Amino acid sequence: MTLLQRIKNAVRKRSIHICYVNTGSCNGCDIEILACLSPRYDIEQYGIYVHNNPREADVILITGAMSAQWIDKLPDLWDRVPGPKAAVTIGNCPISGCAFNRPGSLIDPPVSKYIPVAAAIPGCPPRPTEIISAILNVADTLFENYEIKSRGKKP
Amino acid sequence: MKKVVDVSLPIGPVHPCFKEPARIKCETCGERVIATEVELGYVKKGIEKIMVGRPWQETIFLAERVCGICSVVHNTAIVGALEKISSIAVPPRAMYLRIILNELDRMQSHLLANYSYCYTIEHETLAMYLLNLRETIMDAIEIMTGTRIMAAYVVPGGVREDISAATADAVRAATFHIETELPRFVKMFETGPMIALRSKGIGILSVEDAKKSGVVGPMARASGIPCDARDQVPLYQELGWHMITRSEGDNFARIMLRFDELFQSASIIKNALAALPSGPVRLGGRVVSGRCRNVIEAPRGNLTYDIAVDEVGRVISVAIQTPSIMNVEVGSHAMMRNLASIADVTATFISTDPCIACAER
Amino acid sequence: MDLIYERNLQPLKLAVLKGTRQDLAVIALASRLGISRQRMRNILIHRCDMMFLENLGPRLEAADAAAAGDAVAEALSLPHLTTATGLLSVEAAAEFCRCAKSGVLLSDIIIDILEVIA
Repeated sequence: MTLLQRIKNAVRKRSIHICYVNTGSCNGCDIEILACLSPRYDIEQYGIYVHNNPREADVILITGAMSAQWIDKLPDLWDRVPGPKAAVTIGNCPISGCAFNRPGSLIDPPVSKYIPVAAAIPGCPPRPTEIISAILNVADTLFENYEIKSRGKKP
Repeated sequence: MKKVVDVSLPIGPVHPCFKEPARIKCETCGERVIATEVELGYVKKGIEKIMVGRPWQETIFLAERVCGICSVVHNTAIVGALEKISSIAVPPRAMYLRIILNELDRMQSHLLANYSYCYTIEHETLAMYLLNLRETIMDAIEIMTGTRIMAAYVVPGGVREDISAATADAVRAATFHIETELPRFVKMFETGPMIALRSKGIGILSVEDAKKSGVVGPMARASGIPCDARDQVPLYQELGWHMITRSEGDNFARIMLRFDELFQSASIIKNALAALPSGPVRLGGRVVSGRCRNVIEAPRGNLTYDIAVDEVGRVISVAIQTPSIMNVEVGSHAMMRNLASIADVTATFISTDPCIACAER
Repeated sequence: MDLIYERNLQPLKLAVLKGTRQDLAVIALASRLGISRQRMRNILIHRCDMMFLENLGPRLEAADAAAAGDAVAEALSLPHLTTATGLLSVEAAAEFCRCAKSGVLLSDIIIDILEVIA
């Protein structure tokens, strides 16, 4: 492992930028992400910054069950996120549609049909601590030695 | 909207200020915003459609998932409608517990709304103070019901479980903490010169515009319209509720009104805990067929459930009218017209406390 | 990559109008003007934005209250078309109101109104 790679690994572990995308959830998961910002949980002490801007994000948090407007927009948004990147879904909705997945509803779960999902946190809604620990675990494993792992693959 | 404009500027759907996706199309002339239009459809799930034909037990869970911020009030509204249809009696202790939980919910929702506004006008210090204060309320809700959000605490015929003396003490301590901490933050907001520059006289909602679109809740009360469904509930009057109104109708008035209501909610909770009667918290009953319209006061205004049930307990039709529909509509068409700067669009939009999940269902 | 900034919102607007309360409001407005529900939906989808459509019920209720005292406005449902939905400009509504007071048959005026808003 080169020195440059080691520096990259160390930096990426301490600086994770987040964008959360609500693709048709009920707000419950979104306000649990907001609660992570509060000084009680203090998400920034782990080097996680919530900017909500896809163009500078490393991890995208997806809540919600894919409503009609997002079906073309979510893959588009995923393309604009610079690599290395990961998508983490929060709550039951992106996995199965939760209570809304019934005949006649206007949603089309799961989210993994549209973009590659790295991790899923079930719960309706999950607690803020679970969200923080999942982000940290995903970032550590996915972003470590990213250049070595992605060698030979198309960018 | 066909007008001669310089630029049609879209804001959203993913934007640093927004908790939820909505797209605001601003027609601008220079820096001045002439008109705005809110484009929806990002969180449309069709909850009213999937409720029809289901047993009423399932619709209670679905109603709770209309909105995650004010899930308690949706739960209370649909259960209240079903109780009215079948004339199920609610024991007095359960009535008090419902009021305590609803006021806790109102407090956390108002704190979240004020946090969002302070965050949008880039006063992050005050925003973080308020968000941390909200955790105290979330803890009280968790101690009382067992979970932070989606508590399913209100059931037909009462509430799910009783509270112990220790729980009551914890809730009382939480309200006491809010009452001692909050005045400092209110003073920061009230006297901050930069906050006043960003808030006073911006996004004014006139009484005519408010009447035209049927605005409810804190937005109507900040414009001087006394509109609160709690005045129909005698128990609230006993616990010391009174109408709070302001006359300015700008962003500053809306946020200050929410602060005032926080103190009122805290005192209602204290009074309710002091006067909590003893007795059972849950009685039974049978759901019969019928139709009913139930209006209760959500954190954002009047929430109406119009529900019809057949004799085996299936829902025939349901119409949910959430307060955010009226408030976001008047926000986009009346308040954001002729704003001086594009930066005021997000601040004005957030000051209406928009809940897109409520508005679209 | 295509940049989709403006997409066709008609199916989404129709989904909004199919909501229980919005549907009742559309039926009430259509029967006031004497046209079918489908034609009323078509007019509203083409002329109003999504937030207006969501808020159709309370706005039409407010217009009902505004029209209650005025016989001409009630018959032509002018407040519903101007303040509530914005289909008709205030000047045009005043013109129709003047026509009605000068003795033109109300049914003829409604045909004219439908031509303007369609």
